[in-house]
Amino acid sequence: MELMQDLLISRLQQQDSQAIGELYTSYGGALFGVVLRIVQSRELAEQVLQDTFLKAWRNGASYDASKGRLFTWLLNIARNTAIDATRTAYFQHYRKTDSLDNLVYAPGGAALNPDHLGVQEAVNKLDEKYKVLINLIYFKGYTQEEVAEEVGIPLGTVKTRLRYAMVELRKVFGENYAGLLALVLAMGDLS
Amino acid sequence: MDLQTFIQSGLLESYVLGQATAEERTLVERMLLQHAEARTELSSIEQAIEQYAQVQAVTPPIWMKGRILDQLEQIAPQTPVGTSVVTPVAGTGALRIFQMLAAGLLVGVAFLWYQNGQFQQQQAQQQQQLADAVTKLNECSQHSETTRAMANLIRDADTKVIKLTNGENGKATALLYDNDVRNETGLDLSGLMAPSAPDKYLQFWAVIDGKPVSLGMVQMQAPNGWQNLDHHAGVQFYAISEENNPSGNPTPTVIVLKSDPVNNG
Repeated sequence: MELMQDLLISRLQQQDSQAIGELYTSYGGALFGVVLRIVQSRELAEQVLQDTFLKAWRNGASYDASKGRLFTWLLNIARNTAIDATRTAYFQHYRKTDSLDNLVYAPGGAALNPDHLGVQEAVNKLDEKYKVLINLIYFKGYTQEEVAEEVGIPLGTVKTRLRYAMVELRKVFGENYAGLLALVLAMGDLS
Repeated sequence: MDLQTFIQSGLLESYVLGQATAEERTLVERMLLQHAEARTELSSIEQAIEQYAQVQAVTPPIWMKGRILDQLEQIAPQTPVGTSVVTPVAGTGALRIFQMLAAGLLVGVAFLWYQNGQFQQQQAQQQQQLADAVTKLNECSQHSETTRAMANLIRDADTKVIKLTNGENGKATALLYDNDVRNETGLDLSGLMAPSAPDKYLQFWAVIDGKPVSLGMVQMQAPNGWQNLDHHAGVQFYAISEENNPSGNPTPTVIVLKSDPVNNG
């Protein structure tokens, strides 16, 4: 799996357009969800998503795997592109016309990934204060200072909660040792 | 800054966000280079974020992928190979033919030189890819070895399974695998609860001859939910304490889990 990822990265760095197609298949939906939450307009989110993958193609050579995962790199491109878009007059026009719920849950348009319904349930059980923090910072582009102001808590508390929010989130997605063991045993005698 | 303080500082989270200052980025990248545990922690944070984003994915319009690829086709750079422009040559008759042949020869030589450069560049890239692939294979092999060792310990008939409970309802919240023949001890972290607060840390203990011996801090994010511990013979029971110090304390502060007396017979 990692080898495939490495080859994909190598092709991205060589500006292989088919590599962008594969990245889109893997991450398009996740990035579209993030972008939609930031710009709150389907039309603008579609433009931002296209721009994101064009930027990824243009800047593929600058991606350094030792500094982070491919998805994190793409997420930061998408988030920054979306934040830039929100500063335009175009955004100011479209923002007035759509509500977030309509955008995300529009019939026939968007849908939550059914493969993740169980995990979604687990995510929903996260403490609200952590969910708010993760959504504001990771998916809406707030700085930690802005979060402190928005939520009305000290900056130090934001940092502490952010750390603990990640610990909680990782527990939700935590490596399932029992599952791994079952897999190992199912592979037969390893001794 | 020691490793545990660094991990608990929130700097890695800021780094993932792209919100770290230049000074913080330098520190994070230095720690990543020096400590495998920091790299594991970073990867774990990134994976959680990725999974969280995937859970909240929204399907883009079906035409989107085609439109992006069409745009890439339009802006993809045209290869410059063999597109040199030759200016008209002056002169007449044999001289003109000679000049044209010379110009053609020069273009041909330039083309071959360019091709050779491209070939060498591609060869260097392929060699680098191969080296990277070998490195990854070695890492996979090491990971596989760890998994194999873990399975072997659990399957061994001489391995004792020791439950650690909070003493309230007897329900096990951590399982320890202890083998005096192999001299190996491993802790399954999958059922272990997190510390009661962000500034609390779990420390593992063996009680030998009535005295607590520290077996180190519990690594909650250890790969595969498994942590190898130093093996000790003659352990009377095991315990996990909650501590304020990320590096632990010489004696346990508050015991949160403990085993029944260990049968050393």
